[in-house]
Amino acid sequence: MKNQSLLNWLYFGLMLFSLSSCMKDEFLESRSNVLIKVDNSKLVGEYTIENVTVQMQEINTQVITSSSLGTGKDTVKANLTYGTYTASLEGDITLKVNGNDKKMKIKARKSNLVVNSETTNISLETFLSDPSANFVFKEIFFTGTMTPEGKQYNGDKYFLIHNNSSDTLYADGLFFAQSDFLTITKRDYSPDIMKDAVTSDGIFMLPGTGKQYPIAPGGDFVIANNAINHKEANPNSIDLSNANFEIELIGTINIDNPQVPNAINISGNMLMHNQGYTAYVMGRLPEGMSPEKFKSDNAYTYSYVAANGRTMNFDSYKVPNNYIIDAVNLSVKTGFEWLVTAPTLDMGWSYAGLVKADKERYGKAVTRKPLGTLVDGKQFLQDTNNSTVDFNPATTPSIK
Amino acid sequence: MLKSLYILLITVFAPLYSLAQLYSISGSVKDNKGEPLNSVSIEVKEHPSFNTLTDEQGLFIIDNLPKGTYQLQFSHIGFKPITRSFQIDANRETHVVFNQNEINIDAVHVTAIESKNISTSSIITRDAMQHLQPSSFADLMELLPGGRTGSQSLENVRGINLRTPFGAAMSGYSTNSLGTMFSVDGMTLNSQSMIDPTVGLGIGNVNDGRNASNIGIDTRTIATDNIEKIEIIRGIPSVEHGNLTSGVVKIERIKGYEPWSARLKADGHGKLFSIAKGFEIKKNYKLNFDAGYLTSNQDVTNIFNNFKRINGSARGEKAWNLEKYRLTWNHNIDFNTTIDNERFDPDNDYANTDRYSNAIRRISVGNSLKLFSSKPKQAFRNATLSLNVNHASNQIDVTKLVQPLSVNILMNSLVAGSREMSFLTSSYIAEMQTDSRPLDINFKGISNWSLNAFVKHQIKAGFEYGYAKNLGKGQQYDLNKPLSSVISARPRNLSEIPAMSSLALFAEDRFFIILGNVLFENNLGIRAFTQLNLDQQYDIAGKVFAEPRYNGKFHLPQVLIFGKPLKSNVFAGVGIQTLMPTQNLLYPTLRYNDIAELAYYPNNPDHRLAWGITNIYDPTNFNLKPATNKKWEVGTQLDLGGNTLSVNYFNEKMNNGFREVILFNRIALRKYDVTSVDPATFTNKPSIEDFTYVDQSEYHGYTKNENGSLTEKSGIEYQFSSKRIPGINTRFTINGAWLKIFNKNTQPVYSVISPNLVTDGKVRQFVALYENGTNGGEYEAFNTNLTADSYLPKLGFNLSVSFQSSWYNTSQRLFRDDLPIGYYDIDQNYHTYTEADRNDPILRSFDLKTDPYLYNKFTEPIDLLVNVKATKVIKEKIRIAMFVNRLFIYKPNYTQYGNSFIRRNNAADNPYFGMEINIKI
Repeated sequence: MKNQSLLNWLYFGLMLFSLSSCMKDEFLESRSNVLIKVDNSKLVGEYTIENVTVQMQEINTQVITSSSLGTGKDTVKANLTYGTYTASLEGDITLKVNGNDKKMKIKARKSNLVVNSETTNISLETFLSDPSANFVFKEIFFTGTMTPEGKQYNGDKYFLIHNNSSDTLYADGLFFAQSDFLTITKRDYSPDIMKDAVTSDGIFMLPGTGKQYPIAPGGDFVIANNAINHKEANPNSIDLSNANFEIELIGTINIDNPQVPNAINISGNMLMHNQGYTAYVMGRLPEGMSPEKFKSDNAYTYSYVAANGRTMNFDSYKVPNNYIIDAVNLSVKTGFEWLVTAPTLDMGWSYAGLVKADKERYGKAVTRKPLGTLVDGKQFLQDTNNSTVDFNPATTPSIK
Repeated sequence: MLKSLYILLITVFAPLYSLAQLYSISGSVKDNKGEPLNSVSIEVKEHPSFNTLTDEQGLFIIDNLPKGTYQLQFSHIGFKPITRSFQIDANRETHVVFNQNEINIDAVHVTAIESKNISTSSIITRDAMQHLQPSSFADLMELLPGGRTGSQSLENVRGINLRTPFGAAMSGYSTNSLGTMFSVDGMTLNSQSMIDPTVGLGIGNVNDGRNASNIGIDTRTIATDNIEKIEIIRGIPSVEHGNLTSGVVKIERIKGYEPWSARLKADGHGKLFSIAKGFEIKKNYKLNFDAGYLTSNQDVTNIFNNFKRINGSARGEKAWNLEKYRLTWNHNIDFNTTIDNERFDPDNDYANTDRYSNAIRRISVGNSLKLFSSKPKQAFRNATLSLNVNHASNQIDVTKLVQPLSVNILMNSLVAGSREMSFLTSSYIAEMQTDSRPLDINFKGISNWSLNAFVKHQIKAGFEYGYAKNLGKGQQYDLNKPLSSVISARPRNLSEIPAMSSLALFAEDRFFIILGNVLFENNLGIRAFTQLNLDQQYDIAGKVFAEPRYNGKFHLPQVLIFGKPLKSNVFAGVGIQTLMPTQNLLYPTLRYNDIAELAYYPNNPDHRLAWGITNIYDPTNFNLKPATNKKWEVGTQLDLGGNTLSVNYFNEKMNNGFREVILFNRIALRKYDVTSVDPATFTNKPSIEDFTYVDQSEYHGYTKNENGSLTEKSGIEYQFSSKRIPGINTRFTINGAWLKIFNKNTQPVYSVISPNLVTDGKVRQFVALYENGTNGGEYEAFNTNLTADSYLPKLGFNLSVSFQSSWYNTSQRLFRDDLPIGYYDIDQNYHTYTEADRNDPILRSFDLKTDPYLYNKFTEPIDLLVNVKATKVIKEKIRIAMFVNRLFIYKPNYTQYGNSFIRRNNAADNPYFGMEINIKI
């Protein structure tokens, strides 16, 4: 509504301006009929679009002309004076994702459009923009690889994180945690805090002052177990020497690439579960909360009764759900028993292995599905908080 | 002590002796081949106090007989008893010959026999072994009270745990089996220099359960086919046997003529083949040969996991009959090879490289000279001098494809300190050979005397000298290609461990007091021993330890019950048994802790730099003491017309058994900051000085041998054996035991904080101390084995059915503290562990939060199994035997503390078959 009234004032202003200009000198301006085609070819799936407005701003006069797209139309008409324009489009889109409606924005932008003939044809290619979007897990490679001789290789696991928003975001201070609980073993943990928090004692945090590691809209970054070229050791592995961060591992295997900053361990040394029986979450601690304060505020002791009747007690930490910005449950195709996060974080799960201890799982990852494009052709990824539909299981890792 | 006891005895018993004319009867007992028979029981009817046994030369003497007529009954296992009457009016001599052809069916036992010896022991005869059809000595354990048919698997080393309830957890309490002494034809089999060469070298679990260094004799390695008789002393052994805590296994092998005989056995795990022959040359030279081969797979479908045994022996005995003496020279050479092999299935395996083999080749050479008096009346009875050399070569070969999970730092420094390390090759084939060659020489002398001083005495005195040295070269491998990227030891030349020698002197008086109709048999002995060449730093160096032992038996007068004679006795014993720590315990290998300080790994391979610190710690415990087991027991034996019952109660306590404890060292190290160097500014490899660092410390563990295992055992052992029912010749044997064991760690327990817990970016910053951190428990079991066997000599047929019931067994974990009493921070300041620490996000992990449910006493109800065994002799040349173990089991599920326990779901519960054929030519 606010926008609308602002626009109305703009129209009014514009009218006054054009009137005054008309009145000042009798010189007849050259005007062009501009046909602006809204090109939705980069949008995928089923969607409806409404409230599309195109603004044309002349770069010298700063004059803005706004036009709306009629329902069912794909072209906006505008009558503009000759000049050089920047076009920007904004509209509402309702995408059908997994049977549900997802309301987002579409945007388009084009500059240096020269209008100097009676009719001008302009095409604006729309892209998606999700104002609520943040970092998401794009790809999790947790299985490691197998050497040509058939032994496990572990150091090449990684997280690929994607900025799914249309803004520059900063990786500084993001934390990552691996759940204690396994998706293949449902237990009656007590006290049950699952609806409010994720239980984890494997937590690390990215370094940075707050604005040290900018990630452009649609940009990716990699957090590697060991940020080195693993092909030197294992021809079946991958080159992670260009990773953005690396995890601090235990003693002798904590190989440190000086060209890649290290993550800071808050608890444990995260060795990603190579069968993928856990969930991973990422998030941010509230402003001003130190890792030490996090641990003392969130110390958590849980227990369950084992099959032999024994009560097992464990010390861990709870990661409050409201700190979490993305969560992915992982399991194996046959063997899944339960989700180890609250359904508000993730309603589904993905996998690399088909069965428990599947030898075929090595070298496979889970990858989030694309759902159109962000600005500059960057991918917009599907994030419905349901990993079953958001991810493709058992994929080939994108890093070679 | 000894002196005052004698004075007491003299003052009490001296008046009982009158000055009436007394006579003696003496003589010899032989078999029909002229071989002297030892331990022939001679009963003087109606005067049981005169009962005696023949000595090793088959000689006996009964003194102090008043004038009169006496009936003497001579009985010996396997023969029909012989009864003779003597008119005694002068000193008499007699010679008794047993005829081998007369088989006494009542003397054929298919179970262990409770011996009539003064210390509680079980005797397993050849008959019992032939019926049981064992693959190794390990299979015989079910014949002991409390024993039952277990797994026939030979995959892992098997120690011997006497008087231990079925199912007790004995890990950490292996002194029980280490302290059981095995003697083969009088010669010690145990080694003092068997050193585990695998500690800390990362062989992995393929080596688990395949090293006998701390459990003593591996009973899998003993073949049974050349054994005539085994006596397992569960009670208090004679002081002749030393360096033990639990008991003695005395093996006597076949001696003398034997036709060519062969045995071929097959069962679910493997096959056994053995062959033997005995010669008798010119009546005074006996020569026996035997050889055997056993192969056993853990799993029939897995031919790559295998145990093999090859054994052979040649034994001779040369005898000279001198005028007053008989001299024998026994000599033997034995070979024994056992190989544990594991290879990985090439279909599933990595490049077909990984394999493991643990081969122990032992050669024993024994010589003994025995001089016997041929005159029963002479005070000197016999003297033995024997020298036995055991030399084993224990070779473990491991080949393993090593491909680290990621790039690893290789830390293989042989000296302590901080230095440049390299990066481990990403893929290599590691090969390691370990060479351990224990050499044990035993020199032993014993003499026996018989004399009358107030009462009849049998005096035994002797010495035993032992020399132990390992000649092995230790571990051989390329230091740059270790079996694992994390190792805590380095190669060590075992031959640099100093030789150890020990000397023991012992004396024993067995005296017989006659109180009217009662014979009071006593056996009092003392053994003193010392370790001779041990560095003075060791607490035990130069110290003399003494072990007094006593056994007494009251032979009660014979009475008639239901018209049958009842012979009975009550007995009691008390004694100390001591086991010296072996070389494996006294000379542990050095412990290495390697900690990475820098792993600078830029993309340019030439610029990479690894740095680490090696800390070396000598875990030798100079205060290690011998383990001492104090035993006492009481019991009774009844014999009603050939139906025998023996029951005894025992109690044993050892509060200083050997165990490994974990202690912690604070190791100072530097953490170099990788980011303090900008790789872009370097055109070559940086030096360590280019990096900034912080000094910090971490706690790291090592193990040390301590006298920290307490074991208390008590129980009731019982055995009933009926006479065979005439006609069907069926005997019922009921044996079993109620056994209880209590294990406790007496040492405080230290525990480092979980290395997962990060304090200010650092790990391993705290060590907690638990005052009561025991891992022990209490276990109890009560079982009964009922064996019915029918022996039909005319058909050559013997069939037995054995019902083995474990009525219950319980286990109860010993309570340990959840909370430490305190902890040390990294500056080694001690802090009391407070209530607030339980909520500290780091220190809370020291609270073990053990569920009290665990400390419940868990009772497993009845577990019954039925075995059937049969043997059939065809034309006296061929014997076919077969067995089915667990033909039937009854093992119900049960509910306890609200939990359901499901049983009978494992392969070990399935019926197990075996067959064998024996041929004699």
